[in-house]
Formats: sequence, C-alpha cells, structure tokens
Amino acid sequence: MTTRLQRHRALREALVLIVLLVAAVASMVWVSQRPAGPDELQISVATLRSQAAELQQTLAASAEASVNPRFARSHALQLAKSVDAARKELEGMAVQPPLPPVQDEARPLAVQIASAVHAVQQPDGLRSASAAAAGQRQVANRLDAIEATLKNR
Amino acid sequence: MTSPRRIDLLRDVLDHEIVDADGIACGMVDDIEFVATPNGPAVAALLVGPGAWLTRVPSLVAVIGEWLFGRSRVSVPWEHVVDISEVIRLDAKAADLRLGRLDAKVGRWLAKLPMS
Amino acid sequence: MGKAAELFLGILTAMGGFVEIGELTFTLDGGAHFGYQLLWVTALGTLGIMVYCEMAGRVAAVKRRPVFSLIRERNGFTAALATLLAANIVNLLTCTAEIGGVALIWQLMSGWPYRALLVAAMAFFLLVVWFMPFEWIERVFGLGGLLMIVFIAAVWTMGPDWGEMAAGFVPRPPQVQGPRDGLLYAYFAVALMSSIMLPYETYFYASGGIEDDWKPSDISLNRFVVIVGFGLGALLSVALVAIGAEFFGPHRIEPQLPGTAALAAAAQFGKLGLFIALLGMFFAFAGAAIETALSGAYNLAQFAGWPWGKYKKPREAGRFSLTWIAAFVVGTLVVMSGIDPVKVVEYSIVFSVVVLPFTYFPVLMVANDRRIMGEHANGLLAKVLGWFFLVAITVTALAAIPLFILTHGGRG
Repeated sequence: MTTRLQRHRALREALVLIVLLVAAVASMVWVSQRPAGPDELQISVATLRSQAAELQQTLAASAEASVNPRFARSHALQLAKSVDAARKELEGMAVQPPLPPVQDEARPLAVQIASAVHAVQQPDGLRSASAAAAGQRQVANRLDAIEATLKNR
Repeated sequence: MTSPRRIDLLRDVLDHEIVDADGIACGMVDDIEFVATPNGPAVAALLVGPGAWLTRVPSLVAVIGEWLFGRSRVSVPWEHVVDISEVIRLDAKAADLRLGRLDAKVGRWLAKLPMS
Repeated sequence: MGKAAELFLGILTAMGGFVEIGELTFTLDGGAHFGYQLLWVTALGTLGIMVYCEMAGRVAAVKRRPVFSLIRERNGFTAALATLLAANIVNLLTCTAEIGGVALIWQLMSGWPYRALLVAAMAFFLLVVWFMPFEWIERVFGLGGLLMIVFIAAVWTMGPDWGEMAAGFVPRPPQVQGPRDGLLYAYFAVALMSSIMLPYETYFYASGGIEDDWKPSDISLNRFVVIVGFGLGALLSVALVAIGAEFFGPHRIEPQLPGTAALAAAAQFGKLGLFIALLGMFFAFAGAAIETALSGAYNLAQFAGWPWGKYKKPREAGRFSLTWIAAFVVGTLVVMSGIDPVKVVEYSIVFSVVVLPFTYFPVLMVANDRRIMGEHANGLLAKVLGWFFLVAITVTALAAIPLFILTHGGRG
C-alpha cells in the first residue's frame, strides 16, 4: 500500500524526529552531568530538611496518638524511599566550587534521618516516638540553618 | 434518501460516523471512492478501515500505521446510504457489509465473561 | 429521581470529583512554599475548567454527538489524531498516577505491601467498572470524594489569616526571595493551572452527558452544575492551599505524599480526622482513575466510530471495553516497574501542560462554529473566555519545560 515515495518521505520524517530526539536527550544528559553548584547543594539540603520535618511530625503525631501505629509505620516506609534517594544524592554530589564544611555538616544529618526513618519499621520502633521526634526537629533545624547559609552566599 | 440534493462530501460525509440499519455505530468514513461516468466523477463507495485513512496521513504515520493495523479496508457501496445528516445511515446491517467485524469478534470473546 | 435531587447530586458529584492526586500535591506544596500567593491561579484554573466543561457539555446537549467525533468531522483525520494522541497520553499518565496514589492510601490504611496493593487496585478498578452501573460509579466516587471536606474543616479550626487569604486571590507580583524563587513560583503557577484544567474532565463530562441523554433544554442545567459544582470543588483546592500555608509551611514540610496531607487532618482531629482524610483521598483518586480510563476509551471509540458507552453491556461495545481495561492494566504495569508514583504525578502534570492547548483548541473551534451549533454556538462571553484561556494555557505550555529544567524539576 505505501509507495516507494511515501517510504522515502517517511524515512526523512523519521530522521528529523530522531535528530530532535537525540538533541533533547543530549541536552538532558548535559544538564544532568553538569557539576553541582551551591544551588544544587541547597536544594538537596532543603529536601532533607523537609523529610526530617515530616518524619518529626509523623513521630510526634504517633506519640500523641493522633495517628495509629500502622499509619505511622506505613508513612515512614513511604518516606524512606525519598530519604534514601536524597541521602545518596548528597553523598555523591561533587560540588563546584567545593564546599567541604557544608557538605561535611549535612552528610551525617542525612544519615541520622535515614536511620530514624528505617528504625520506625522495627517492632518497638515507635516506643520512643516522642524522643525521636525531638531528635528529628533538631536535625531539621540544623539543616534549615545550613540552607540559610547557602542561600545567603 | 432523505438527504438534501446538494451534498458537500468533504463537510457532510468524510470523517462522519457510519451507523447501520439497527442504529449501531460501525466506523467512520475514512475515504470516498469515485468512479468515472459519462457525466463526470460520481461517488462509488464509502471506504472504511486503515487501508482508507493511511493515504491521508503524513508518510511516517502511514508506514507505522500500516505496520500496526495492516491495510484492510471495507468498501460500502453508495447505494446503501439512505440518510446523510448527523451520521451516515445505511440500509443494511453492519455484519452484512463486513463492517464492525472486529468489534463483533471482541464482543463474542467478552460475552464469555460474567455479566457482560 | 426528581430533577432537583438529580441536580443536587450532580453538583455534589462534581465537587467531590474535583481534586485528584496531582492537584492535591501541587496545591499543598504551593501553599507550603508561597503561602496564599497562588490562590489566584487556583481561581483562574477553576474558571478555565468551568468555561471548557460548559462548552463541551453544551456541544453534547445540542448535537447529541460526542465531542471527539465532532473534532474529527471539523478538523479532519490528522489533526484529530494528534488531539487524540495528546489527550490519551495525558489520560494514561494521570490514570497511572491515580492507581499509584490509591495503592499508597491503601498501604497507609492496611500496612500491606505496596506492590501487592497495586495489583489489588487494578483488580478493584476492573471489577468496579465492569460490574457497577455508570450512575453508581459517578455517585459513589463523587460523593465519597466529598469526605475531603475534612480539609476544609481543618483549615477552619487552624484559624487562618483570612485577610491574607483574600489578598491571595488578587494576581500581583509574588513576594519571593530572589530570582530562583521567582522561577519556582512560576513553575508552581503553571503546574497548578495544568492540574486543575486536566482535559479528561471535559471529555468525560461531555461523554457522560450523551450517555445521560442531554438535550438542548438541559443546557442551563449543565451550566448550573458546572458553575456550582466546580465552584464548590474549588473550595477544596483553596482549603488545600491554606493547609499548605498554615500547617506545612510553618513546619517547613514540602508535601509530596498523600500521607503527608493526612497528617494535617490528624493534627486537628486525631485518628478520626486521619481516617476521613484517607478515605476521602481514596475516593477522589479512585474516581479520577476511573474517569481517566473511561475518558481514554471514549476518546478512541468516538474518533474511530466504534460503538461506545458505559450504559452498554461490555459485549455490545467490545473495543471500547478493551480500551479502558488496557488503560488500567498498562497504568498498573507502569507503576509496578518501580517508578516513584510521586514522580509519575509530576511528569503527568508537566506533560499535560504541554499538550493542553491541543486538547482544548478543537473544543473551542467546534463550540464557536455556527454551522455546527446553530443558535447555541458560543456567545460573546464564551468566545472571549474561551480564547483567553486558550492563550493562557498556550503560554503555560511554552513555559512548562523551560521552567521544569530551570527549577531542577520543581525542587528550587
């Protein structure tokens, strides 16, 4: 049914599409491969700050019995995925220009959030929810301060 | 036929829904076939199916479309058209004109399931 | 059922079906970041969806023909095919996000494994749409979504700054901390607009009108249901923005998950508030999943001239039925591949913005066309509003991808 002329035209159209697709993918790869700057570090810190605050809120709600343990565990489990991703992102970030004091301060805080969110899954993970919530509030506050420092550079 | 004497084929027929004698939708007018007559070209049939619309799309879409859907096409003789209004009404059942066969096939398969 | 009761139920159904997972996420997050400064976008988006749903409903009532058939009749095969592809890709992405959202809600309620719940969600949707009559589907999920009123109640008890809230409805340059924040504000405005104006609402609404056998005499009813129902639905959106501003912002939380939203209700009303919020979100997301799957099937069947309709038995509309079944199956498989449902939500909204103009332009053209609509064609007001929103969504479509890139995927 399709004639030779149509197939030639189709090939030309396909080539144009492929070139556009390759250009789009190449630019996406270029953007993602660019070395991270202070802005990217700030975004990563902000993400972790939000997650710490959310974990704190979940633990506090559990301690106050405004949420049931099943919800608290399930929500922490769902949050854990994003926390692990954010922690890995921060670990692997090579910031240009380097900001070792900032990253060195943020990394252990990220580990604390990850440990806390996974600890909720333990059988007695919610026993000291109140204390854990207070801990996460401190983590969130420190990350907030780091974020403010980066923003004001 | 209850249609007006002057019919704009592009506006009133092409890409319109076809409905059979039982009022069941059985495709769209994907193309129109003409035949040469001493009085000039006349409508011979309505064409329905991938084989009809493949000729109307950009080449790349046509090649992919043919690969996906094949090139089958059903020719509905113009004599079967009894009304041209919101839809194109035919005087025969879809099955008799080889229209909507895939829908009928899928329907028979689904009929094996409960409450279908 | 009396006309008044039907009208009342229609309004409540429109209200309960207004919010879905994308809109929930972006309204809460937008409120957390920018307080009430995005409220005018919520209002604008609501007006936009009212305009286009009214138009599509009027077309359905006057022509007693589906919108997609008319799009093909008027614009030809290739243009209609482009619209079909655009609309159905958006439908599939949205359906996928809602299926993921439902599984997340069920996990929060049951503690069961997420992937098992995805399969359960797919089975649930297949069974519901197969066995449940269309009217029941509309009513159950629309009215169930009204449980999200718990968020309105939560805002009330939070004692928001009403003055600041009112000021948020007036469009003005945002108060932001620098150009990066300004770009993020623009991104949220674009995403919010898109999430409110998702095209499935329009096409599903019009197809439903034909299934309910609307006539020209139903045009006023259609207008009333759209304005009042969506207007009340917008109250839910406003409440979500307020919760973002009053609860999540001060707590420095950027909500991404449905469970996060439920925390706000729990903070005000304890376990009862939590339960109602989760149930309300379940009905809202499930309703959206069903509507997007059916909308995709309606679009394809109407474009191709297949028998279609939820009032028909599945065997009487074979390929139509197969299409909505495929939507649920493919959507579930996509989420099961491990893609983060939160990411699916984000990508679905961003992609929707880009294709929105392709889905709305044909509706406007058909409704404007006196040859097709006769005396019921768009009047001056509908024309002006229709063109205004088409330009607005075209501008947002052009800005969406650059903003997504410049804001590091909406993260700042």
